[in-house]
Amino acid sequence: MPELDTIKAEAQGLASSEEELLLLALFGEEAEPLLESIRGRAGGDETLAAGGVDQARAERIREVVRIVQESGVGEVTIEESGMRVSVRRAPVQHNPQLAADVPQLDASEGEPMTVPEADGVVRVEAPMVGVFYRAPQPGAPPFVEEGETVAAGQTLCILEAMKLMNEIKADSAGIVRAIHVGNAEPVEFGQLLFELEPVGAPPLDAF
Amino acid sequence: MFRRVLVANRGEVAVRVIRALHESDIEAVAVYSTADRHSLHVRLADRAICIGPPQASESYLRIPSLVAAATTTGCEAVHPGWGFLAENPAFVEACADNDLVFVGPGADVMARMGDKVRAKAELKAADVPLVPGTEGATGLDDAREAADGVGYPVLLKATAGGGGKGMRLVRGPDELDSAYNTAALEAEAAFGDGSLYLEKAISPARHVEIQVLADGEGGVLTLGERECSIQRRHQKLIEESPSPALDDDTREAMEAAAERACRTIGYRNAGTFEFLLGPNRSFYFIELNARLQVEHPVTEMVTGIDLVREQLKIAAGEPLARTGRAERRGHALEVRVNAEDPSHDFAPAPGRISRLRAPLGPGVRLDTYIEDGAEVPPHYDSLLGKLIVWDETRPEAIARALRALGELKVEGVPTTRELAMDVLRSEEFSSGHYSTGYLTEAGAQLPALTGS
Repeated sequence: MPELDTIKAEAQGLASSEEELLLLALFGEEAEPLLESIRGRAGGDETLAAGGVDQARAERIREVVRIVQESGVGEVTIEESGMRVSVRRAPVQHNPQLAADVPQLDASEGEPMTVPEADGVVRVEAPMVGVFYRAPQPGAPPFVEEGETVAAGQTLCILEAMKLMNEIKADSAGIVRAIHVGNAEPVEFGQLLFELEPVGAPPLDAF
Repeated sequence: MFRRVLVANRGEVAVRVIRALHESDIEAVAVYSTADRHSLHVRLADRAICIGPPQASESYLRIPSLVAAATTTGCEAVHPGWGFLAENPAFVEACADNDLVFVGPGADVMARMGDKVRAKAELKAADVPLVPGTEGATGLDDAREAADGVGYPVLLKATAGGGGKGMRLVRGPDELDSAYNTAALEAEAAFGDGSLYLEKAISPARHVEIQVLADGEGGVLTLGERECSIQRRHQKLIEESPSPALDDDTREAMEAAAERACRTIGYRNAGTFEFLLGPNRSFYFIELNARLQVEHPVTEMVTGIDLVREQLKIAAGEPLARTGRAERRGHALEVRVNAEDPSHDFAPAPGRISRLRAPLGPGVRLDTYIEDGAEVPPHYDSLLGKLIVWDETRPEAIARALRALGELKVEGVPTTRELAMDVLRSEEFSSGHYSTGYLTEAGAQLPALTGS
């Protein structure tokens, strides 16, 4: 990737802490008030730009983040004399702006979209429009209950569209932490159905 | 009448249909892909359902999702707009199977008219003129005989074909043999079937179409013609009604043919019969568009009839209030405004509309989904909207269109606005003497096309 060399060159001599750089890179303008308030507490009124992180460089780092997000590469590290910047993939769902940039799994029929959150919870979203059913038939026990542990491939619910029953299965093992839709309620594409807490996998984090 | 209707489309036509629904006191349920989350139709509708990711095959073309969106929101009917599933008989059947009224013709007539060979056979039975030529595949000897019969120039076309492959223009008898052989080879290579048919080449030809409304109970209203000969690569750019090429007798003959065809094939709802109009005012049926069309406002402006509201009434089982020929008055012009880059051979140019100033004032209508800050996603077609003007006479309508295009400002993406203004100012357009070849021939010198 030729951009990386450019970024390396651009990043040389940056004096700010890598945490702050990454905050800016990951959260963009959202992070600026925070950084400003940190600097305010430090006693000066120096701005971000005055602190050595000019807009062009911030934009370069945003580009690194974009490369990581778009390429599917797990991690990119830039090392220069005196500083080291690592950008690791860690999709965050709290911020809707950022959520839009998170690469999502392509939804094919019946395959749920699962999006890991920063705190390790996996969100299972509806891959289609339909009616949500918690049980295989009326009166039967639900596929899953809150608090239950499910195995990878286990059916979580059924989505019915045009009288076709599409089983939605868990991508990976986890504990059902929340069920967000009531039985027989209609759901849209992308609507949150379940939150699963992964079991047997290290939690995802930002660094 | 319906209480709630699903609008199974996006963009400009979704906005158009929602407006008609609200004017008819019907609730509108919109659908959208994640790329259209902030689009105007989503906000104008009473409810909106996200049906899938940006790619149309996973959202606007996915029949189960649209049917589920309609049934889970308690819709009674589905309006398909144009494009996407509007002429898909399987969608019409899926609606019927789920107790949804499809606002359009039945699946059976739609399937028959979608099959070009079958459509022509049925139209011929209704005594609608077709382009003269051979019926189906022909050998070289029969082709020579047929060409002598219909007169040169003739076109050889692949029976399995489309897109110009296996097609040859033959100007005289001495060209026929070699043209036949190369076209057959090309057809064989492209479609695995080298059979050819022959038809008379209509040149110069104009594209003139007749709008109809049919209630399926024998009531047919014809609403005059739309002249659609200003085309770029078979994409219509400017449409008008009435056509400067039609006299009253030819117009009546075309409308009568369309009316006969509706009865013969059992057509219901709005439809458009497309014709080629030859230099001697002879006309030939090409195809039936079994849906609402992009350029329908031209007809609405001269007849005062709201075609979408009429579509809804027909779908709800109401007979037509008027039949025969619709009254018309004045002249209407439509200019399509596409997000396309003139400096890159009119490649689609998606992006963000940083500013829109809509033209206003007398006789002006703008059908669009864009507004300040609107996103034009790369996943769909490049039509931003249409400027439609009405005035008493054709010269006044052209002047009004130029005035309104001058007011129109679209910033953020390049558009076809300047090209349209060049065409409207051209000698050929103002004289009314133009054909479908205009933009590739004389029009190629227009400033917007030469980049000067």
